[in-house]
Amino acid sequence: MGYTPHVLVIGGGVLGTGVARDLAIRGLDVTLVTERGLGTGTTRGLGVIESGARHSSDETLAKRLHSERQKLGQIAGDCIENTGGLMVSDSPAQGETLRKAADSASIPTDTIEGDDLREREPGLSDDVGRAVSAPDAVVDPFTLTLATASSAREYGATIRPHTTVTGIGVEEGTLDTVSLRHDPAPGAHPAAVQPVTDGGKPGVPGGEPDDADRTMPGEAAEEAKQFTAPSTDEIDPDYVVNAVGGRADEVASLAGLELGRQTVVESTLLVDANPPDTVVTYRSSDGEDTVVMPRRGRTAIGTMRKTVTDDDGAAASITDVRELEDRASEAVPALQNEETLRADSALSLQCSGGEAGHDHELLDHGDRDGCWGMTTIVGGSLTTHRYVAEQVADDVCAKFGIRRECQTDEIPLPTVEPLGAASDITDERPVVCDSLPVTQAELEAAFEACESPAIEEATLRLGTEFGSWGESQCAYRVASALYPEYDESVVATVLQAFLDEHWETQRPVLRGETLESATRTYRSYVETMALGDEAIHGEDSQDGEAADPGIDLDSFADGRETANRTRPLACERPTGGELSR
Amino acid sequence: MSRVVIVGAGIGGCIAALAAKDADPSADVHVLAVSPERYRHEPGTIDVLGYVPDQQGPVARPAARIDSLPADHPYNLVGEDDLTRALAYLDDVFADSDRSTYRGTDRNALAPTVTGGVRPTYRYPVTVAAGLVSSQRPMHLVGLDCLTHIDADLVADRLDSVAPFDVTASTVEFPIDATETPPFEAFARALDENNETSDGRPVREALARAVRPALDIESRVGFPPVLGVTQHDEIRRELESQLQAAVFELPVGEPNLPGIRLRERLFDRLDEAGIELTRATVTEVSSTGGSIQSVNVATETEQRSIEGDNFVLATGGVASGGLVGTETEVVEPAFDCPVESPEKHSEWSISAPLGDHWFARAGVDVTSELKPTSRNGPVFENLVAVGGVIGGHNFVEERSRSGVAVVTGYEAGRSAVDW
Repeated sequence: MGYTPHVLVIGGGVLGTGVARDLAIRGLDVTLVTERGLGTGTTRGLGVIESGARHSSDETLAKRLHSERQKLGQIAGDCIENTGGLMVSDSPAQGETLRKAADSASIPTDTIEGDDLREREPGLSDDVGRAVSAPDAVVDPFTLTLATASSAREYGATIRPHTTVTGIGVEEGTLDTVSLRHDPAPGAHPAAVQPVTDGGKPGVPGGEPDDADRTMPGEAAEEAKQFTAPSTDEIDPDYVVNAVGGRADEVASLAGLELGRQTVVESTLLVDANPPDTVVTYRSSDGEDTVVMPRRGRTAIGTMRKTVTDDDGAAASITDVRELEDRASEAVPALQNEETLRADSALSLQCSGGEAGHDHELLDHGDRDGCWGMTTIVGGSLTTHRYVAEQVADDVCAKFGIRRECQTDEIPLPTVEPLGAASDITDERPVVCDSLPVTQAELEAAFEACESPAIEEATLRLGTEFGSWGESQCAYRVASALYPEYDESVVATVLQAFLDEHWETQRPVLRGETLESATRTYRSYVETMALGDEAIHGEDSQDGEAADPGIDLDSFADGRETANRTRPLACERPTGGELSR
Repeated sequence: MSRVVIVGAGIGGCIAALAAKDADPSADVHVLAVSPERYRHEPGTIDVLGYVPDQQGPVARPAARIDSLPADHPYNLVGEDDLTRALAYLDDVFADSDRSTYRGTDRNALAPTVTGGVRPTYRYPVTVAAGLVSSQRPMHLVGLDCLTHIDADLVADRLDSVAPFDVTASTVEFPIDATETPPFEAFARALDENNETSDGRPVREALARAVRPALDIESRVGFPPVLGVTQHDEIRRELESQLQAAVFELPVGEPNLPGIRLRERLFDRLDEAGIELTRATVTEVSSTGGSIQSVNVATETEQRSIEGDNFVLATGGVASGGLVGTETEVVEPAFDCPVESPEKHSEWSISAPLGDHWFARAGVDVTSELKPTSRNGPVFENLVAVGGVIGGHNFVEERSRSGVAVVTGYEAGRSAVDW
């Protein structure tokens, strides 16, 4: 075949980057687009690489998971923490079933009991007498995605974050051109959407740095970076892989296709509790697994179960939250008293006729809908992502008559430094906010490493995250770290985008102290900072001079006159004479 | 002699106590402070009414706009005359023999915020007065290196672009080091005591010297709120004389020294009026025939019972712990007054993070006499509610929270001794 097929992969999670990497290694031309920052959607899930021991009922799946877990351990060792896992149950029968099944799938497991068990995981309930130990692992999906994307780039793939597919043309039953829109700050104030003057790459130092202290407001407005202006283009790929997970139906609908798969949601809680040492899986008597695991110095709780979303959309409900907490504290009782800081919801599509779990399904729209040129991936999991990508790449290569073996299980992922070049920072300046132990210099580096500045991505790059809404009271200070390198309108947009995203994780957990501190933060933002008002970011004239704030200042008190000053006697209490001056 | 028990020592509780004692000097008024440390979240201003539904921009004259609030709004329950009286009474509370610690007229002022916005406020500490955006004079803002709470250059940039006067900024190092973070209180203490810096200069003078080079002709200079707690007036005057410019503070989110100063002011007034202030929480309420006889309270050291003729519920809203969200409903734990919660927890909030959430409107229903009520009438004959615990209205969005506390506090306090 005389030319190299060009494949467009849509979706910037582990699966999308995994497919891009596999195809790039096999020599195809690959472009990957993702709506937001690379990997920023991936941390909504649990972040566990399963050994397979949990899946007693399905030996094939158990073997597959175990094999993938080993392969990921080999290629992505930097991103994986081999914490091991403990499977516990209050019913001995369940425990025994777990162990036997693991044996039959040749997964190395052990049974741990008594003091050994307490020592391994001190937080376990006294009711748990024995546990099956299995080689589960914890992964940071964000770093894993960055590493996978970095590998794809090494093999020639083009990665385009903040790029949305806006249209997919179909000509005579074949996919035609795809319209793309690059917009790092959707919904930004129009004034912020201006061409940049430094060649378009945010993060490239321009102008004189370190002159912040004496920058006059007028000057700052002229030199500071803006968001890259939105731009559109069209590409003409030979094949499209739709790997956007839970929103795959939206992409498919652009080509007039319907997937007919249900959207399911998986909720993960972040609890303000000391993390367990291992991945604890608690199997309750109804056979349902709840996972308690370490995450960034705190505890994450999740489940393997996914529920069909109702009309209210994707967010978890307080009932889901409570159920997860209750199940988790059966295994780790101390969790009962700890504050749940946030609830993240990860969307996915459910395979037809199957539990979501680890199953996957490739919808070839040529076979299925008579529309040649696109495959949608349904399902898949963090543990199986490499395997699913392999299946997709095999399929795409076969369509173009390319016979190359998959090598993603042999070629190690490169080490990535989420903070880019500036990874070795010493900074004497103070931490930026009380709930996020990062310094100004670290934040600046993290923002610079983002293709376009965003608080969520920057904190992920720093290996941290905001927990409760109360903690986010200092988010305005994090955003301010962008100034004066970036224009104040960028600071405002970045803060607003973060508040919008973070709030989604807060609404399901509002109660008790969490509600109280959230309400205080709300008060602080609205009342003390006046952030709810449009007026503050009103018309911003080009020269930075006296734009009309929309408020007639003269009709307000100026602080020179005071009711007290004109009052004849301190204790007299007239009915309005003094107040009307 | 009537015995009045006020639960909650926020702005509303204090004003209720003072107004009760003022109306009947022989009354025995007892204030229970549940968590007075919460004043650190108070901006220290009294915001009477900043926004109304039918007007785009901020309200200029609060008293003139209460007619556009719903009929069941506390201001309308109280009525314009009593609202005016209450605000005049507040001025008495703030007044000293020589000068007032607070300022304001019948019009709102516009104060700058820490994010470079403007907010309408009615009564403000003198320390805020010189910094008003509605006073159209050039200003200079000073940031402190180790305080990320205020990015002075960013605030100046924003204010400069919306205000018809120049706003400039500089960031200096505070003359002494502090180990605590954030160092607001440490800096305030150092200025209170006027400690010497390492090169032997008093810290107030050293701070002025650090600021001087960046100052052009601006006639007012703004600082983060660190200018002392006890010696605040003196510090400000000293800086003003050294900088030859008016000095003001820009309140931050938390901790807020202007809020703490407000607490000291109000508590001093309680003390002067002979009002007993006890740190305690209500654990149980004893009532007969629809009237409260006594409350059992827990102090740090003991459980005791306090009897009273009239009781005032002034524990605040959700943000202050006066209302508590369980998973299914919001409850009022002190007197167990009914709070009507939406059926579904998902309706407690809306998707816009700074929008008009139900939790900001949560609270007890009150009668026109401010008595907490259920559908069957008042919960107790001798209980009135004050401030944020009153439901139905988003006082945060209206920028009326502290004003509602003052006005309902005044009304409740007077009615508690009138009966």
